[in-house]
Amino acid sequence: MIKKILILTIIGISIVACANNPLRSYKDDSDRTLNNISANPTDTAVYGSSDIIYYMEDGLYQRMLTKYDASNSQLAKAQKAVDDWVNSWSNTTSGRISDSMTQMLVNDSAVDYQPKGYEKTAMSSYRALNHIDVNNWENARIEIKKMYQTEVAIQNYNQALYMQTQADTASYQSDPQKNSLYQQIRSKYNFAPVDNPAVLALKNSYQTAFSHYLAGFVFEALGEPSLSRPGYVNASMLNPHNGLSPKSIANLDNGKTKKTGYTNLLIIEEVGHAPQFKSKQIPLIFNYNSSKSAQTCVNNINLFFPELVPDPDGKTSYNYSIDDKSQQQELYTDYNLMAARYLHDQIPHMIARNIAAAVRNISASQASCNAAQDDWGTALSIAASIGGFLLDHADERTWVLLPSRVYLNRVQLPYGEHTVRLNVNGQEYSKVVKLNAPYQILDMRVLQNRVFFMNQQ
Amino acid sequence: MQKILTKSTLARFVGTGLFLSAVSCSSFSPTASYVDPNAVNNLTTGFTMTDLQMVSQSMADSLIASGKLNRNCKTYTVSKVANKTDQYIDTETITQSIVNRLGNSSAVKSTYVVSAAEMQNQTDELDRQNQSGLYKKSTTAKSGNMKGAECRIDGFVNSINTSNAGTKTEMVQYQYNMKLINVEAGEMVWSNEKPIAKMMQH
Repeated sequence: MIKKILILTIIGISIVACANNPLRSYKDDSDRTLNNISANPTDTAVYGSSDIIYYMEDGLYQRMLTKYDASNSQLAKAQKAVDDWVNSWSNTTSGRISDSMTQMLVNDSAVDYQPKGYEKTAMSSYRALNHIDVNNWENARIEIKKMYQTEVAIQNYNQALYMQTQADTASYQSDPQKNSLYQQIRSKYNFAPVDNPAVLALKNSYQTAFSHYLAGFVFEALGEPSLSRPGYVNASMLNPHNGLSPKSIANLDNGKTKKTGYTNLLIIEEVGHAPQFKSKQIPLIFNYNSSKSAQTCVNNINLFFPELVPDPDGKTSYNYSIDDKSQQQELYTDYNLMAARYLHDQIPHMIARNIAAAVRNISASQASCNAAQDDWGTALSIAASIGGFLLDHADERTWVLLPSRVYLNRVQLPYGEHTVRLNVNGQEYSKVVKLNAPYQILDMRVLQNRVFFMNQQ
Repeated sequence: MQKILTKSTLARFVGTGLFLSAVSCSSFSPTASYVDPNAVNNLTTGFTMTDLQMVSQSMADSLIASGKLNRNCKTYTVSKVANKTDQYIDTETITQSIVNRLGNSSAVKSTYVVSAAEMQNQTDELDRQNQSGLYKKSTTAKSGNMKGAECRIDGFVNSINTSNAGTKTEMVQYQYNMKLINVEAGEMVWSNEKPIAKMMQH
């Protein structure tokens, strides 16, 4: 008995000893980060250890503190994982679906975090903004190019995932046990937040109008209209309700982009934080009949799926003025919808992995029930418990410090100093911006009742 | 406990632990290799280097074969190709490919002169030679002697995307248009188009 417990202990330790602890609740970690920012936004407000998700969170937070080089240094560490992934999918539809066997054996939290599609493209956009803020437009150009190359890789990956999902769905129909699990999951998980008209109206879960408009703006600033135009065209297709994108295309086609002594100022207003992911438990009850005795065993299998927890403060924009003239911003990207669309597209794949975990759990429980009276029965019961504990946990990791919503506005102002006044819940925050170049960007972030201004140094 | 922890049992425990650690923490290492740069890229419906070479060579050859460049233009320039698609196509590469094809052809007697896009480097160099005071006057390129282009070549690329969910097919049709225009008269001397259609079944 001691020997068996020792084996199980080693299994447990070897899994927990990985860089990514599968038992970690990222929702709790990100709550702590948000509370730190709310209480006192020091340099070290982001809670976590040195892993990809931490670099993403801290990278964006350092940007809020206007520490652009530190921000890009952190984001570059996370970008390395994205680059490796993109290389495996850039020209093929047969790259890697799962990062390692661990993902299937344990749960998603046990492997290195692989940023979601919209997080990958956002990372390039924020790195580009950091370069612009230190007046390095050429490096910003490299990041923008990386953004649309990443989109091609994500498209290839999604196609491969779709093909796998089709095969998985077909297998449920031929296997009564899997079919029963599938039907129970479909009836017990609330799909409404990820399966509604606003979510389905999105073209996909990785292309954002914000990133493409920024691409158009960067290429326009660099005097490359043939690359700028697709940026605005894509922004217009991804968010057809905006007036700014068609206007920018028209100005580009008519050569009305620059005016001597004036700055084209792009104003980015970011509100709130991206939705958190919370692991949601779905209990399924199974009865087993022992093959060795007359007894019946009952086992409660818990499957876990992620549920979105949106930021209540990230639902609306805040009014602002420039030199006391009120401005009109337009909603470009809603990361709540992007996250919902991501889940919508990933749910079939999550169902497949949960069914695989449940089938393992059922097999272990049946074996435990058959051999309930002997030594191994007890050990297998422990194994089933540990297995269920480790396996049934949805990955809560997500880039929480991304904004909830991104609004854009673009104005042409004469060179010189201009005062921007932002009203947040009755309190006014102001920033004097110095305009001295044909193209500049002002980024304003409202998070946890704090305002962060980011602009060129 | 002493009975259980024999050397071989311990070795099995350690082996199991190492195996599980390796499996659970392992990662994939991709490798790169050289391939033929002229190989046809048929992995995407996007505008690729293969398409770029195809349109630039086809249009430049068509213009040369028409004989209109030699007959009508002693000097010519190539404006940057406009991109009217939703794809991020760096059309400067198409422009340069056309310039190379025309400039390196023995059949073309007309002379290429710098385009508007290249003018900044040209004027910077003239200023450097004439205004920095660093050069011997007899060796400097003089300002005011640049040749104007008698003709200019304009081009643009456009695309239409269609897809059929039922047959899981995606089609992108590209159209590349090119014109030779007399700068003084504003008259079109020659024009042609090159269509490309790419289909992919998923």
